Amino acid sequence: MAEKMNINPEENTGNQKIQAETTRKEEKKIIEVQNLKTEFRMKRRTVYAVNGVSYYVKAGEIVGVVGESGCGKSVTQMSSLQLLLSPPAKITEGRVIFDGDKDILSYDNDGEEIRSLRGAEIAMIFQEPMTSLNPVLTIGEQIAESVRLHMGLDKKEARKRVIDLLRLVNIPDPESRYGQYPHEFSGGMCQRIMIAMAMACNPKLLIADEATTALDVTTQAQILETLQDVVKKTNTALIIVTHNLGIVARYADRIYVMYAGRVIESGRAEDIFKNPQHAYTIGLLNSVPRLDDDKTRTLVPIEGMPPNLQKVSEHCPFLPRCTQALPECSANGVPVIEERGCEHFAACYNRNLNKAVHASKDVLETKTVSEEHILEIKGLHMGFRVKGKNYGGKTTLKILDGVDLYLRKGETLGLVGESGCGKTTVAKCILRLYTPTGGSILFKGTDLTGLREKDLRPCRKNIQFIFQDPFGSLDPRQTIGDIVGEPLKVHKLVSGKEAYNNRVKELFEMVGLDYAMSSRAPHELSGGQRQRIGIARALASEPELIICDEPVSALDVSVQAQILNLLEGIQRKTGISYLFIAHDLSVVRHISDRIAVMYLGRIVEIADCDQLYNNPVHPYTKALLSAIPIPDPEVEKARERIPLLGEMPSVSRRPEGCSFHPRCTFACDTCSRKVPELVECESGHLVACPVMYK
Amino acid sequence: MKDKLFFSALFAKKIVIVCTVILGLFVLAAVFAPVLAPYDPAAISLKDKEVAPCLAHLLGTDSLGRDVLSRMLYGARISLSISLVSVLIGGISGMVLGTLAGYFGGVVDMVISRCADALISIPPIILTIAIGTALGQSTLNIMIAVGISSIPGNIRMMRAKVLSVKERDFVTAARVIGEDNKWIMLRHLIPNCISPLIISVAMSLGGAIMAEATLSFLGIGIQPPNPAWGTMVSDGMRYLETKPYLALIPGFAIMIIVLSFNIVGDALRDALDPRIRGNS
Repeated sequence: MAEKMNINPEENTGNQKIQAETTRKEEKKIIEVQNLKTEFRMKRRTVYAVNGVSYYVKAGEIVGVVGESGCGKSVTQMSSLQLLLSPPAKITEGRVIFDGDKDILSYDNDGEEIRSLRGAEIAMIFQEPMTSLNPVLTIGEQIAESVRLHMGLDKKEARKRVIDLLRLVNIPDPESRYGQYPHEFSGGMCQRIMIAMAMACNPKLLIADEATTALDVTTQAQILETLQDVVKKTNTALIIVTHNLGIVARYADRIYVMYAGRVIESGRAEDIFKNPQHAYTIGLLNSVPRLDDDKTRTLVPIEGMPPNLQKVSEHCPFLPRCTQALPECSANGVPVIEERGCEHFAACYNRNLNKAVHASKDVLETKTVSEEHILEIKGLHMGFRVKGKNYGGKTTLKILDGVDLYLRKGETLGLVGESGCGKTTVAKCILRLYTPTGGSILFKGTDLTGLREKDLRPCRKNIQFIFQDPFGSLDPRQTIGDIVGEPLKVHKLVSGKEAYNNRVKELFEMVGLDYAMSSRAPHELSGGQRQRIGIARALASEPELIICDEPVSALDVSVQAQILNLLEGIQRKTGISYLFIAHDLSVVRHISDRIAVMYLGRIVEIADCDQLYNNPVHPYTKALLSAIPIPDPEVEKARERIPLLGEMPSVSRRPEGCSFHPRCTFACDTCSRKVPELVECESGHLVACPVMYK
Repeated sequence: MKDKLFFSALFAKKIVIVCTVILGLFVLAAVFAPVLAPYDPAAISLKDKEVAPCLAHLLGTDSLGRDVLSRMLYGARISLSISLVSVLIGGISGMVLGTLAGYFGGVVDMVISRCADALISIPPIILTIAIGTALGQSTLNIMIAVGISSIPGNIRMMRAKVLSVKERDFVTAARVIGEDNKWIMLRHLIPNCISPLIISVAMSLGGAIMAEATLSFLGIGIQPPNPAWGTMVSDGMRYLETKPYLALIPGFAIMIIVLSFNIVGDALRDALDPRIRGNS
């Protein structure tokens, strides 16, 4: 630890980098933003993206900025550094004081002064690590570049510093990885490199803008742990911009909740989660599924969408979506942010907000799961033939290596695992978009694997698919009415124009859309509406099984709750079965009856939802559950964290024996020799780990 | 509603309206050539030869005393019809072959693409001349020759677009629904891939007139006494020093029409893209 801290030979005896012995309260404000206003002036309209935002961050403090997309989170951060392109962006008001005496907004936006701040004293990490790195330079050269530019070190010193930095962000074997190119690193590793690069010049402030959104839950946890570790060691201020409430609950000291370009609530993490003082904050908390949820909890989505920022609202911007509005909300202007407690501020007229989680699921409407197996997968193998020197000539990449699953009529089976473990491949095999290389897929007794495309087509209407990307899965040239009606035409399910229109209308109503919209094109809809169209299309042919591949991961939290509730409602009404693929275990827990955990093309554990969450057996399941943050700082503090070592290897280098053993803390000799089989440890709970269950 | 949006986007710029009007006038002139033309375009009158533009002959007469205005009007018929038909031949075959190659891949792609490569390796003008010579001289054959020479480019464009679009989720969605290949290609791939082709076709209308002009200029296109613009330029070339208007008038007409086609094609591209259309 002591050596790692010493990454700062010149400065660590200096004034500002005193270790965090002093208490937080005495720390000085690293950045203070006062009444910042930013607008985008376009030809025909002006978008008021930031409307008077004030915040501060102290040294060594981790501050979370949360809110739905389009709430001005990122624009605020970009404005404070003058990183927005001007025109169209224009900062109309406000002051940004950095490090006590530097007034950033008074600097020329491309001048010497601000450039010496950016990258050196203030650093940023973005969402896409792969595109942020230059593919033709080695990672060492790229980090060294900023060290040499800002710190004036020579080549040799720079190299030494880069290696220290790589060590700081836990990249194993930094000396040899110095000379490697970005493509030789995984997404998680690239994000570590971005952190190293950001930390290169000992910045006083680090801004992570959705830095872990594109990563797997396990990698996300690793990266955030690293970040937390690094900033606490170096006493750097950190701003985490995210839409994930769990992340801020786990890592942030203080939180700013943003809505419509304003901060509507701010305070210490515990206060925000325990005693929220704004209707929007409460709405957000009620709309996210939690890992420690009661199974009967219903998500309460925030209806409607964030406001169009083309005009400055006269009242509270949340008013149109607020369920707890008072008469004075519509009578008075925009509420001012006021103190509600120690360091706790909120802008809401209603002082007696109902914080209770709303109604639980209607008991009468419980769904019925029959014992009939609608889908049965046995020993499913899928391989791709590949060529290339990385694979040692020609070989077959085994993506799936013997998957056994069954799905009962009317139930939801969750399928979870890190990306690249083969979840989507299973889905594509069931849909016969891929032809499996081995095993059988029995759908109501018919083996789909052997069917020819022509014989398969009539079966297709019984198994449908909901895509992750609500943008790419709708034909941009068709109207949404045509999209929903297409399966009807293909399978000739209705006769006559009138029957067709009625059925399309019925489908629109089923997914909660107005039929009057049916002549619109997909690009005119919001992400949530598009996903509803995708669901309506899947429902059109009255399938018995719908495979949902990450159906909510591209959506905002409030919309996510709407879609999850919709899927649950449809299931109760029609008795349809879902295979629900997702990486977010709290979402999967919320919707699933049973859950299967996959690792590198094999199922490692299957159990009833509650069994799995209360009593996970496989070490991988445990680590996966531990990686999911719960949006509640108190619960978070009490949780045991089980770190996951390293990263999932590529299928081309599948370890012998149990594929998980190199990352497993419980691994013994037999694990590396024999592939463990799924064994039933209690009724309906199967696990492939002989060490944990004998 | 949708069409209204399309047209308002198409004619957002004044220059597009001007060009469309010009193209419209040319088409009208071609259609009503027999009514509009003051003289028989093929009537030789040696005593009136090489008359400069005057009231009797608005655009003058050529070396054989034929009225240039009448020849221009009749020439518009030939030049416009050749360009339209040849471009349609090239566009439709390119679209069909390119879609098949892109969608099916494998052997189908191999055969179609290699044939296209073979065609593309021959300079287009030589290819057109070769086809024109092989088929013999007739208006239809010129159309075919000019059309064929534009097929390889269209195949490549369509194939590349299909390759990228067929990987998109909505095509997978169509397969999941149970649509067959024909349906997927007709309803999803072609509508989503066709806009670059439409634009390229609109732009190559100008090119086709040029190709016809080149062929006629080289003496294997439209044969006298039929008045095609290209032939007229080639005839006029000989008198460039003494009677420059003989080559300049048809040359100028070709220039205007090519330019108009290009500008309209450009506007068409923007108007066909719903994303650009929404912003403009």
